[in-house]
Amino acid sequence: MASLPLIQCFHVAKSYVAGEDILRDANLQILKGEFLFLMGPSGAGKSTFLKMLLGLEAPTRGHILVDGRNIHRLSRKDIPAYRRTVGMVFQDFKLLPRDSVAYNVALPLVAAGRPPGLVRSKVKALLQFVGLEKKAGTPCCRLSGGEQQRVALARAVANDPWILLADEPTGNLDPCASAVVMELMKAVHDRGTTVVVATHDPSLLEHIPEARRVHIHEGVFYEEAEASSTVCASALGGPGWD
Amino acid sequence: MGLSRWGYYLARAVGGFRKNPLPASVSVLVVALSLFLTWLFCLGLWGIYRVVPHLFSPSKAVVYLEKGLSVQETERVKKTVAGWSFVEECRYKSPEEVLEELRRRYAGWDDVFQGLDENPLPPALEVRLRASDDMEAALRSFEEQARSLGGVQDVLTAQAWSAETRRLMRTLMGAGIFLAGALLVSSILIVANTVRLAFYGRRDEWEVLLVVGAPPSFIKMPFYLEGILQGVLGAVCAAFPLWGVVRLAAEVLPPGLWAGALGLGDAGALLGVLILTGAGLSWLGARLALRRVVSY
Repeated sequence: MASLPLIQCFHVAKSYVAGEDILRDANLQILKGEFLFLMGPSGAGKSTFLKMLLGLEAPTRGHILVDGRNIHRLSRKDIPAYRRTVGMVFQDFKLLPRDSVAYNVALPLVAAGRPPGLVRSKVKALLQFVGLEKKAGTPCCRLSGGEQQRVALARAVANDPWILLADEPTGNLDPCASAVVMELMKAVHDRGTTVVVATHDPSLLEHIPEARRVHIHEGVFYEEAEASSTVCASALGGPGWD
Repeated sequence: MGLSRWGYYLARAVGGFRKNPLPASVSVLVVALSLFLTWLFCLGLWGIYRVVPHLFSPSKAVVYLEKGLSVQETERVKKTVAGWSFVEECRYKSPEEVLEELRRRYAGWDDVFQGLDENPLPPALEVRLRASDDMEAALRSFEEQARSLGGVQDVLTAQAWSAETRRLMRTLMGAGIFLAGALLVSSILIVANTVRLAFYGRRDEWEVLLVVGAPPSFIKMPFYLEGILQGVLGAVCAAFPLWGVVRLAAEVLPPGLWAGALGLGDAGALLGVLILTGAGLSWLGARLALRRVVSY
């Protein structure tokens, strides 16, 4: 049975300065349960695209549909609930450094109003998953980069999101820590979560060779197979997208 | 950390207070000063309002007669006054009786009367007027007629006092409301600035919360509580000196002028009122600071 598209981007463009598009006429379809590498050099628009998927930025033109809903037309009160269906991992971790590992992981659960008992058991399970159960009480600023990224990953998946977005998740890590983080990403994917990893590092692809690869070039998405022949990915979704 | 929302709010509010002790302390002191001065003024004014009617009865008047006036002359004046239609009762008082009544009325101020070698007060007629819809006009009319009589040294009615008192009270009230308003507004603004400072100082924290899907109310609530905490602490700080002033006033002033009139025997009630006022002020300040922040 063919998977259904979870994320659909139609003619998406984004510019911060008039006339300078970071993304222009970008079309992409990501299926439920897919693992996708979004490749491109720094400044290509990878982070901007992920922020748009999370609803932190709005496209200048075009539409982004997640599970059939245009996320930039959500009402204000629906946005927090939407963001809880999308986990995000950043290159710089974005943790609360003076707070404990457990506190950071618990934050999305507490914000979602989960009962304290559930929060406690969920945090324990998540810390076991990322191998940091013995450091639950340690302030995050005392952890290594790899450990901090594992905390960020645990926090990102705390609310069992449909989608996990990772923006250069190994950008600040050594190869060993990178491998651990990528293994965890794969484990999250194996549980059915759709994973989108933005990176400029081709060596990451080796960790999940079966993953789909999409490149961003001059504001347009290209499948890797097509990238060398520079076939425009606006045809990726077929004529039905227009 | 609190694993419930309220546990989180309280932990962050107290943590925020600890992170920025200087601006938070300034905020607490300003709130304390504002509450202290405002409530001191309110208590004072309340006391005056309670005391004034006891001091000046609007239906009473005193006609001071010239010293050395003969018995016949005194009797003539008394009869004339008692015969006026708006006079209900007229009673003669000797200088000794006048002094005795003053002593009785101002029982706490014995020192004032102790140094008197001789009684400086003249004999008087104590007059009670009939109740009237326009008491001030009746008093004015009585005063004019009494002054025109021979043998009358002075006429004292509540009319002049009550008009003067009312004018003074109005001035006091206006100045007090302006001062209290300015103080309360300044404390609201100080709390607002402190909360705003704390909010932007913890930008990293609420940016993370935005990413993990926290609703705006969840993000703002610790800052509201932080503001309210400042107000409550300010109220507690104001309560001690205010209570001290109340106690001091009760000791220094005659009983009729303070404790009895104000009826302030309950420190808990005073503290409760102050805390409510402080919390209300600081909530307004926090609301002002967080009005247009964190929107999706």
